[in-house]
Amino acid sequence: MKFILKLGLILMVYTLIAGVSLGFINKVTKPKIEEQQRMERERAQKEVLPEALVFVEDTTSGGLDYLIGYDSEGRTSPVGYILTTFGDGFSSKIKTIFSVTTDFKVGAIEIVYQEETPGLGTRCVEIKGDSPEPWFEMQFDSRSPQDLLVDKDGGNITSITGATITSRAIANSVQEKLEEFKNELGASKEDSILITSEVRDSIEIGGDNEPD
Amino acid sequence: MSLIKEFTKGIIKENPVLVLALGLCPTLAVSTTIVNGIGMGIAATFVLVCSNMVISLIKNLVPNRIRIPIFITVIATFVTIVKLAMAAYFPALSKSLGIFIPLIVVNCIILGRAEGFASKHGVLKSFIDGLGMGVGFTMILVILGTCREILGSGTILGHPLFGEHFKPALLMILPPGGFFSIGILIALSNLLQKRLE
Repeated sequence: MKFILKLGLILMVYTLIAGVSLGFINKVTKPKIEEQQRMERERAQKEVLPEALVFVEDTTSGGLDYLIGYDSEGRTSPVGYILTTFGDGFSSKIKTIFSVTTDFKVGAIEIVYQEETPGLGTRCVEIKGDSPEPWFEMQFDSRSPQDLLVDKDGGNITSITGATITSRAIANSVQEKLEEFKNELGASKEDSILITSEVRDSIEIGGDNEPD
Repeated sequence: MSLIKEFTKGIIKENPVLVLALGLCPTLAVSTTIVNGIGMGIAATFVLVCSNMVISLIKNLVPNRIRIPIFITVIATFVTIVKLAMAAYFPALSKSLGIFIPLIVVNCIILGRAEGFASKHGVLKSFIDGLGMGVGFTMILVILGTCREILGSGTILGHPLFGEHFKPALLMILPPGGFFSIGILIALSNLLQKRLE
């Protein structure tokens, strides 16, 4: 018994030292990591909604979380919205952010996380030639919700060869979210001016104050 | 003289991957591109060197019965440091290596060297051993990464090598390609070692 206690105590001393040093390292790297994540998020937001200068989080009571993009500090009328969606890919949860125009069409999409099969599903972020954007993502630009279908499902988004599941997962997840968003916002379209001014009052500056 | 030997044994005679056949899982998984290979190699080398040194320092303070949990604690601490530092300063690399960085904790090269070498030798020797093993591991990762990236994606360090119409052998960056290349590499190294003797 005494022997076991002694071993336990020794082990505790070692883990204590390890814990304290890791706490210290965490304290040093944490702000840097958060900064990296914030930059990554902002870069993706700019990518899908370049017209917007200011991003504001939606604070209305609806179930959807989205960002509202304005073209100036004044925040009078939105130029677009940004939504995040997740699709079940072949080997990962594919995270896509996309912008929505004021007439409820897709502005542009950006796949921000995927771990699909190398050489097949990962081609959803492949860039061809001198194009600034992956060819698969570009196909989504200015599509309305009912038009967000891959060719295998009767739509006209060309799916990635050998990666139908990946292609479909992205298209369907964007479509679903967009429909949901359209329903939520369309229902309250009449008092949209009210929402905008509410948002303006409740948030100070920028859309970067969301917890991660 | 013996220190140089201690270093080079990790690269050729006791290469962790080719001869000791340790750490095959991360080797096969991350060697799809050169950058991944280099990143993983450096991360593992750092953990290997640091944990070897610390374990060699504390070897007399560790009761035999609980040496494995203590070694793992030391290794896990360094792995977490690498993981946090990578996420803070090399976010792209950290994204592409993903789960394989935390998995360095259970990479058998590291515990293998802690148990088999560092717990029996001095700090300097353990440092050199860790460095040699790390360099040997990195070297194999880079060789495999180069072959697989060129054949499987038609690129080198992300730059396209061939024209638009080149169809890369996809198989090479999928798991079977990893097994093929490591098999060929082990065969070549055995042949070479036999010739040298």
